[in-house]
Amino acid sequence: MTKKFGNKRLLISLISLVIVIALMGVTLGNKGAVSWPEKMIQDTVAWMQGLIYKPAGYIAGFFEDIGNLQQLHEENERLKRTVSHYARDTARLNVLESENERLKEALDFTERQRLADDLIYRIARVVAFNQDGFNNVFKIDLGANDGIREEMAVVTTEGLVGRVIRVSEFSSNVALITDINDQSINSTGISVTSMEHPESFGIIESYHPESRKLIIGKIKQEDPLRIGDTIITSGLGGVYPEGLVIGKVVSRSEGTFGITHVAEIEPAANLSNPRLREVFVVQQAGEVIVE
Amino acid sequence: MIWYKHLLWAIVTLLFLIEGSLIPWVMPSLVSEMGLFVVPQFALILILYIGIYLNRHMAIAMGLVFGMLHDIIYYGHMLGVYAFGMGLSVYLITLILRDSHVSWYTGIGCIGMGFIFFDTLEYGLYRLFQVTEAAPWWYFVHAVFPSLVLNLTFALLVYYPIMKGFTKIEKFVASDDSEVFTTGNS
Repeated sequence: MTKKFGNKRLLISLISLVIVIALMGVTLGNKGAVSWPEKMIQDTVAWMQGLIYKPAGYIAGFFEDIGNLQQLHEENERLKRTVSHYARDTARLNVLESENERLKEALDFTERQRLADDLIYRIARVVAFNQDGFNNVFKIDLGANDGIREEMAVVTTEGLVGRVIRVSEFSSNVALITDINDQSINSTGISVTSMEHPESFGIIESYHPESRKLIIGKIKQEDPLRIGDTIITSGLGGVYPEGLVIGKVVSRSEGTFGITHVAEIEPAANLSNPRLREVFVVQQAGEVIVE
Repeated sequence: MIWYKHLLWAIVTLLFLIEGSLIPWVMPSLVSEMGLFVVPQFALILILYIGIYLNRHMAIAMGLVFGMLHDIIYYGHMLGVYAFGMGLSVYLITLILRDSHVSWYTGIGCIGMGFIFFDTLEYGLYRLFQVTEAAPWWYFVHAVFPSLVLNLTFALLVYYPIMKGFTKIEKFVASDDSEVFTTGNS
């Protein structure tokens, strides 16, 4: 055995170990610029994965639809009711919007400030999914060419799912919000507020994989946040725009030291199911380059 | 490089593509409802088969290349975890099985061992760099074990066709005088 593990082999394995650990340390944090070989590999593989993912999704969706045929009638009734509610709300919204516009005009908002509230939802197709519990990333088929930038929020019709972390020309990587972790230098918290109590303030600090809940830490004791509140982004962090739905508060309790409170949030979007077909990348109108 | 090497690289590439794009759709939704992480690693299975039964050096190279490819394609936290894990587990598993005739249950068992080793290593590295705080036991029950079930099932299913293919390759190489065939196991 000692002969097999000759000096040369030992040296090579030690050097490669050092190189690999150094590589991990250096690339930790996903801060480096995306180089062109990486972009090329990303785009080529994403294109090939898209060729498989899309038809597979349609076929799987077809069989799912057959299975759901029973519930369709019921769902249809429910949706009709919701649509009538929407029609009523839209009428109110139009009035409020025009009033808001008029007031902003009167208060001399700059063009940039006005555009910041204007969100553009770009639809993107998912081409591949990696969910191994630590590195939960999926790839979408929009890239820098389509105006996607790093740190843009990604949502589904249910709610926030993640943010863009790496962009190449025709594809980009999206990290799920389940990777938020206050111990890690990689992740950034999401500053949130409650839809019912807009004066509430909190920061989503981590995700608890065992209970599958997002955790808001360090809530002030006098904060009006209640169980059952809908949690939305507050726009204060500068990364996520205002008003994206994240989930519902399911519990609020005292934190470790009893000074602040901790709340658990049930995510609105189904984060553990990798069957995403389309997602929306949220762009703020001010950010978009006009072509 | 001769034709069978090109063919094997192509098949591993195809398996690699399928892992991220086809398997999420085939997986029953029950898996995600229970909060399990079932990670398909079909490319690693074929690489381990190649390492055990055909050509050790080629398998180690494949492990490093496809590990790095996985790292780059799904770049989330850092590069190198899969490259290191796949390279090392292929190296160690083929080291154990050197100089021996491998029966089917030893082969499958060693592939299973390779997967457990790979997952442990991955967990250790992510824990070391403080990417995750999950408890080891939770990770074993919710990710390592279900993934192992899926991957070993796949390994069993493809055992027969793979052995057939390998015999063909060995016959072809043996009849070809121009190149001395080395399995890397000697």
